[in-house]
Amino acid sequence: MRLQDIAEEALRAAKGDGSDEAEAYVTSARAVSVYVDGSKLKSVELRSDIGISVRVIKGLRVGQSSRSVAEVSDAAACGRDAAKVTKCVPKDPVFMHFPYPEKARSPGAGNSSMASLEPEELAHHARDVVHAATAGKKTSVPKGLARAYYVEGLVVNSNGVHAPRKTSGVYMHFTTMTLGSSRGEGEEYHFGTSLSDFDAEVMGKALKRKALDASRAKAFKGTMKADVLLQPQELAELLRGSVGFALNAENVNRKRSPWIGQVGKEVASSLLTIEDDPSNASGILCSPFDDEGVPSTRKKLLENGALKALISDHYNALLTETPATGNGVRRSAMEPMYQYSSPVRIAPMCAVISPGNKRPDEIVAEMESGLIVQKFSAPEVQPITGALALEVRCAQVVNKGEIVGTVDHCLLTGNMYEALRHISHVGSDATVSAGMNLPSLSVGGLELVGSG
Amino acid sequence: MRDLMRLAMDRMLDLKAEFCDVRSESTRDMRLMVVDGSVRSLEQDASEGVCLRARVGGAWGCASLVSAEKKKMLEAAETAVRSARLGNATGVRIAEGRTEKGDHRPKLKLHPAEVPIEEKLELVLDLDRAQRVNAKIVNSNSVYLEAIKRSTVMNSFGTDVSWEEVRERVMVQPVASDGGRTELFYDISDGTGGYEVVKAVDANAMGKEAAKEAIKMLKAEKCPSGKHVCITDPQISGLLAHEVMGHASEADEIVKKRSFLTDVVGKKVASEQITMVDDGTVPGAHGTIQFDDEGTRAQRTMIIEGGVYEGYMHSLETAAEMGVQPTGNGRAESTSRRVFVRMRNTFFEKGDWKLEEIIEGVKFGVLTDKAISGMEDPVGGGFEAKVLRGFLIENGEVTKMLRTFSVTGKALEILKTTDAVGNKLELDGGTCGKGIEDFVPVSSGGPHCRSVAVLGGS
Repeated sequence: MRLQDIAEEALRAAKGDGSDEAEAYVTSARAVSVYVDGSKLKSVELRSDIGISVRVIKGLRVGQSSRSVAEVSDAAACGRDAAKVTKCVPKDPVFMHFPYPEKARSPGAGNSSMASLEPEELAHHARDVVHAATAGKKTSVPKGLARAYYVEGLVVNSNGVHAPRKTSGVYMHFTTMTLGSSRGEGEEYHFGTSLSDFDAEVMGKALKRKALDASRAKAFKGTMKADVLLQPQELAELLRGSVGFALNAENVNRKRSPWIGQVGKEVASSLLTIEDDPSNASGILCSPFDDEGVPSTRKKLLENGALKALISDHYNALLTETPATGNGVRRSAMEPMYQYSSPVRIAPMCAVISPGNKRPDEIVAEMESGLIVQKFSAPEVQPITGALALEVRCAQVVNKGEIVGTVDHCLLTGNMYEALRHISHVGSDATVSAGMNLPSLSVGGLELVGSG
Repeated sequence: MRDLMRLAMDRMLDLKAEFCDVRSESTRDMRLMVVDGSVRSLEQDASEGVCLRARVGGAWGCASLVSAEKKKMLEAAETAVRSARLGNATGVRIAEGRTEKGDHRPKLKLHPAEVPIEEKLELVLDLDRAQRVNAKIVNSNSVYLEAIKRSTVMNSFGTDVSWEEVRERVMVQPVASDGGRTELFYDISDGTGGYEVVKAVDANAMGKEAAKEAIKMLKAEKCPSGKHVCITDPQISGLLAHEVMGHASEADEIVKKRSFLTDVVGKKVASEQITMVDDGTVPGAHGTIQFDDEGTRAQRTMIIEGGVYEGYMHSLETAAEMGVQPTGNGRAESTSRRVFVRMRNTFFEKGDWKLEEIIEGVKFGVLTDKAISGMEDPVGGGFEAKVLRGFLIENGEVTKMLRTFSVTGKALEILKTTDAVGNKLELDGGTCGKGIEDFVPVSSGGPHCRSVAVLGGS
């Protein structure tokens, strides 16, 4: 089945039921996953799906329906379901039309070789990670996941939008554990658009080192105010939960963002510059159009600490009578399946933080009193207030530029929005995370609370 | 469909799968969201899927697809067995046990498919209107969710069973601001069952109370930092049960010796006031299931009784590995996800203390109120719960409201300090991921529990 045929069938059915406008979003996904358990390849999986979501506008009433597609007639049923729903909902004076056609402004990052990846190839990489992580027999790999996928998507609407996308992704998440009585756990992620830039040995060695570091950790006692070096993977989650929330136009329009009325004003340290770059070759979510068919565009979000722009989907652009920024997405960096049924949310295509010129070890060497966080329990921020109180699973304590110990079982507390105003260094170690490309940051204003 | 499933299973056995099963799912979901008084979205989804699973020499191969066409099903069967042969895990053969048959429907008073969308929408609009108690509420959010799932599992031992699960949920989340500070509060009502689960909700009271609490939180103060007496409310007690003790009691973590609870059966691990279960049969609870995704009937599994560790939760595979009976904990998020050991309703049993008595005995401490999130730590046994808010207790009395903070510490150390367990058990529904994906509906809970833990907020 061609995505085009599925989409057209759905639009025909929706329009046949009297809709003023209709939009079809079709995705077809193929994913290979290899799970590691107890240092062995436990499960090898090949998944595929295809499905459609249809939105219609009928007399200012908006209806939406999605379903998996086993045959083209499922698309027609989906179009009719969406049209039927409009009878039940009140008029929405905002959602007057779907996007109109515009030319693409950026290339996509999908790698078509991933469309036919065989499970054997991915299994080989997973085996190599385990081999490197367990070398020396001091560590095991209790669990791991290697996933590679290829997703084709298409947005078509009755205004003439025709926006195809091809995205590929590689997502690796492994943990290591030390053997023996002193337990330590290491964790590593990798995100990419193809397997060519994945180095199993580098990941395996990092896993081993992290587990050994964690096994040396001692429970932190007392309290400490210090500069904190946040490494890319943990930092990415903290930024998604703070900056990602605050510059989301829906949150600003709903008055729950702390950055209401802040465009043009300073919201962070002048060391922080972030742009959304949908042409970034490593951007796992990047494509020429968002999932509403609006061209994705390169734009500064923060420049030298000043908020330059919000990001929005089509609805919020209509609400504020501003141009849509091409950030209405339904895709996911980790989950290729069921993308057709995901609701539209607002997210950057690839948020790139401009790197600094110092390596993390050079930043550490300049720390008077500091902390290098290797792993939080769950790096989550309360997005409305920025409050954070995070269990540190493994961190290294720095005194006068030297690492003097490793700690765990303590809380790092403070406020993420305030911490972003106290950035002392931006690292040069740019790393790809899900939907982001970012270096380490050293921030102040946080407090470590221990058990004693 | 059943014939095709049988055919695919036969093909996997012909290709020398030691064990295989085929699972089909048909889901009908609805999500209705009202924001600031307007319908933000009304989404319906109807998805079908099939997952074929083959086990060869301790490794699994899986293939999933949407289409149930014969040629594709047979290709998927071949893929599953071929994929299993790529694995190098070893293990004992899955033991042939009780087989399940029949088509099992839940007893619902009001099937959501029979309730007009207009009625559901009116409920959500009522929830949203009720939150607008005064101008300090700057944003109101109200959601209705329904999930209807029909599953069929066939396996090579002869199980051929179908069942339906229905879940309902409503939630409100008002955001309050005084121009300087902004805070949110939330409330949720959910469970397995028909539309009656949410029809029983007093929408006006639920929305209004949540809004009033959001406004009160604008005056909340910073939580004291350090090691203190902490009375965990049912949600935070539930996070301790679920995130630390629960995940570490999943037998797949035990088989590979990743859990800090490996080899503790029969040992004292907590205060004698602590009894903990994972129970898939609690009527109406959000994590209740009739069968797990391997077709094993749900049951009540004792994990800790009177402070002594009793046993683990099992799938077919881990039960075979450890030579015990499966407990009905083999679950998967969907046909696109693997089946492995997962919880259902996990909670501490109630004790005999009234909440007032628990508070009276505290000279200086904190009472938690509502969870934001928690995270498992099977290796280290660490506990982290992010708490929406709490209350300071001074000389046996609640004195101040506290804003968001976290509770942490080693779970076994916390449980050994537990000296009072409340007499009222509450369960809190949600979804549980293992690692950072594979989400399944569960509930967790317990009574108020008084222990010592590390606290920190900002």
